[in-house]
Amino acid sequence: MTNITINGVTREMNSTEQAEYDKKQTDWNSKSAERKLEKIRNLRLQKLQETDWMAMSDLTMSDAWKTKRQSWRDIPQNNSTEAEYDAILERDANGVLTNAIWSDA
Amino acid sequence: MALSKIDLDSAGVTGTLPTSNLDTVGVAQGGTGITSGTTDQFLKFTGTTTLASAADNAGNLVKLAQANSLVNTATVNIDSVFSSIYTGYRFLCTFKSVNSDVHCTFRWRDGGSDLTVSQYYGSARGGYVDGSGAGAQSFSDWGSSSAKVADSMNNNNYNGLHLDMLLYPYNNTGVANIGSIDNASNIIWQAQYWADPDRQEQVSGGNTYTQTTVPDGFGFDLSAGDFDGYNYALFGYKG
Repeated sequence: MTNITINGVTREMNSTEQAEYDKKQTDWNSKSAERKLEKIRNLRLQKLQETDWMAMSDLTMSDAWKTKRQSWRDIPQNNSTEAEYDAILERDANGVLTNAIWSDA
Repeated sequence: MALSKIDLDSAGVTGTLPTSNLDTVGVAQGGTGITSGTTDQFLKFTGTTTLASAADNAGNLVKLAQANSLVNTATVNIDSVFSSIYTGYRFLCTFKSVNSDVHCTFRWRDGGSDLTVSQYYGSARGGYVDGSGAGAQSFSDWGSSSAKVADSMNNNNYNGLHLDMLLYPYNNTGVANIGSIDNASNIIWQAQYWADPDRQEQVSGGNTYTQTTVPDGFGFDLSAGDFDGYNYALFGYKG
């Protein structure tokens, strides 16, 4: 049984509360891939914003950077499984993203 | 010959004077000028040479609740704590999550039940830093059944969620009505936590629950799994 706490007093959930709790866990777990894709989208947006200055009218963006930025935009259509999302989100012990897709051009 | 002075030491007088024989020492002589008070009263000055006992009014910032535990629990609720004598409340807490990649949500409560009408509107904005650099963080609720106060918390191997929250529960009576002229219950918070994946994150946010139900408490839970522990204190603001 799962616990519930009210005013510092902890007790076990009743059957109704436990059923609601279990349903919430199931719903959350079923959306694991969606949440990972959302994280990837946020990282992608950040990377694109950090390099937007290269697209200013008085600059010429290199082909390498054009390709790199396009590869970020294409992540969702080129990756669709949770295992692929995990690979894209992989980090080293210092928290640094390790997938080559995030490296500079 | 009349005695002008008794040398008690020389006379060898000992013993205890009956209380009835003792006079109250006046304030001008360094006494309190009073003979008794009631439990929890203080002495206070009422003028240059007068003193009085006064009730302990506990000040205008009153601690209403405090608890901590390291026992796993799915929810942390604080019920039946609001009163019309307070204009607002401050809630300080630390929460730890058993699981990673979960968010922490807040709900108003009344009569022992969550208030879950889909009328929670709020947003939070802040930033994060990790091994790859710093960035912006934001999340929001629009017509949700709860208010998200921390996004993607990490598990109990990492530092937990530290929350500093102001609460203005709707109340149509008493001084609390000052904070309820917009017919809603409101919160304003700042949060600092170690997030998943492995990054420090901080946000400040606000949320309004556009219902005129008068809450008597509030609670927190996680999008999945249990709290590994909690430590909180709730204070009420008078005036």
